Amino acid sequence: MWMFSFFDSLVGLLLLWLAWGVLASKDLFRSVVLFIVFGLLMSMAWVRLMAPDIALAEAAIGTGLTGVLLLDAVGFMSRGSQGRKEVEGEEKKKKKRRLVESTAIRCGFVAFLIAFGAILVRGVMSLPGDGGLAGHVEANMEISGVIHPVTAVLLNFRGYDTLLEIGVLLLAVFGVYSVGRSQPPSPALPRSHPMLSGLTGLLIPLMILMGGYLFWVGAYAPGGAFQAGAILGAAGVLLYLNGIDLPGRDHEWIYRFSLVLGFGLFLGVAVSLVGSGNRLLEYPRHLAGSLIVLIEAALTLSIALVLVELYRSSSSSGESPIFTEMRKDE
Amino acid sequence: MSFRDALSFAFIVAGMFFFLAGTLGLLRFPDVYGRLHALTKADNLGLGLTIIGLIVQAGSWHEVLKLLLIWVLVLLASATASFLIARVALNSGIRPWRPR
Repeated sequence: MWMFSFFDSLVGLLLLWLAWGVLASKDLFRSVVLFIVFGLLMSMAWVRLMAPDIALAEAAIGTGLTGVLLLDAVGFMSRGSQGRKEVEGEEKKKKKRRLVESTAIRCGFVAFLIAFGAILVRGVMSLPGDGGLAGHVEANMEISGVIHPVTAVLLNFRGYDTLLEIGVLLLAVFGVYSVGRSQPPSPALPRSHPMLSGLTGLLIPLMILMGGYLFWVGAYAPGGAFQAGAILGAAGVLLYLNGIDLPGRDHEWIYRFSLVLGFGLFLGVAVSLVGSGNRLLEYPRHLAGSLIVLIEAALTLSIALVLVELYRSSSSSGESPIFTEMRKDE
Repeated sequence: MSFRDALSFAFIVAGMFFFLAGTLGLLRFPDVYGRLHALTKADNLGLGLTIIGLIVQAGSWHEVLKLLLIWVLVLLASATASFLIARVALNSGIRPWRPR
């Protein structure tokens, strides 16, 4: 047993150290790389907490796709308009004035952190004892319509959270569309290389299979819309990197419709059931299973497309930031 | 410790050796090509030996297949990624390191 506690404390300490590194690092590229490592260790921590669902989602969305987006953003910033240098130059000018200001700001920030930490500690202390809410979930599994408790919580007992999550993703796409450099459909696709397209040809069928499996298995075991959507989204990004557009790009409305479908269907189901004597987001018992599968299917599609669109519309096709960094080393 | 456990242990320790060597190379080698070279050793042999160590413990044939599939996928992905990184590095004018 001591090995496990040693390993757990090591992961915990590393996480704290990496988090500090992400925040304190002056170099954005370094921060992003540390953030990706942080995400990988975080998913390991979730595995140790016996939460494979969250571990999967963290690895795929939190680390993989977010990492790609962040790397891309850093590349754009260091290339376009020499953003980093300008910032550095201005910082030197302001340094004197900032010294006075920053002490006050820091004190306030530390006070805020202490207050926030106290609230968190209080929250942990006031958790219901003896396994938290697990007992309640177990007692009500029968009416949830699914067998896997995590899915029961996400799609039924705490449907609010999932509804708002997909809402946030949708808002993010709206934001990217509104301020994006390339309006959808973006004109230039990146060029591919035979090595990459060969690998992609092997991976895409596997990813589609895996995405479908994760979506379906969510009712019984770890998996579900977010994990499946992340894998399908990654498949879409991979295709995009190969210069292959998803089919039907000429019909923009199909994409807009599919983007909104997950949120729209979820909300639609929730509202339409209110009329027949249920509360918002409460499913009638005999329909719960089928409704959850239907909502999860729509969510999978929408999440996958949201992730692809986030990458597509914000990607700066061109040189990757890794190589500007490497040249700096020389 | 049964024979099975001892076998796993031996393979996994051997795998860890390659991960350690790969990490050392990543930290110490002078240029991007050398570092890539070091990394592929960790991916190929380190992960491969670890997987063999885990296969010894596998309970059923489909667990064996899944583990092998993971290894093959990582091999393909890391080989392709390393190639692409090295290619872009060459194209953007980073010269391979030569001892002076």
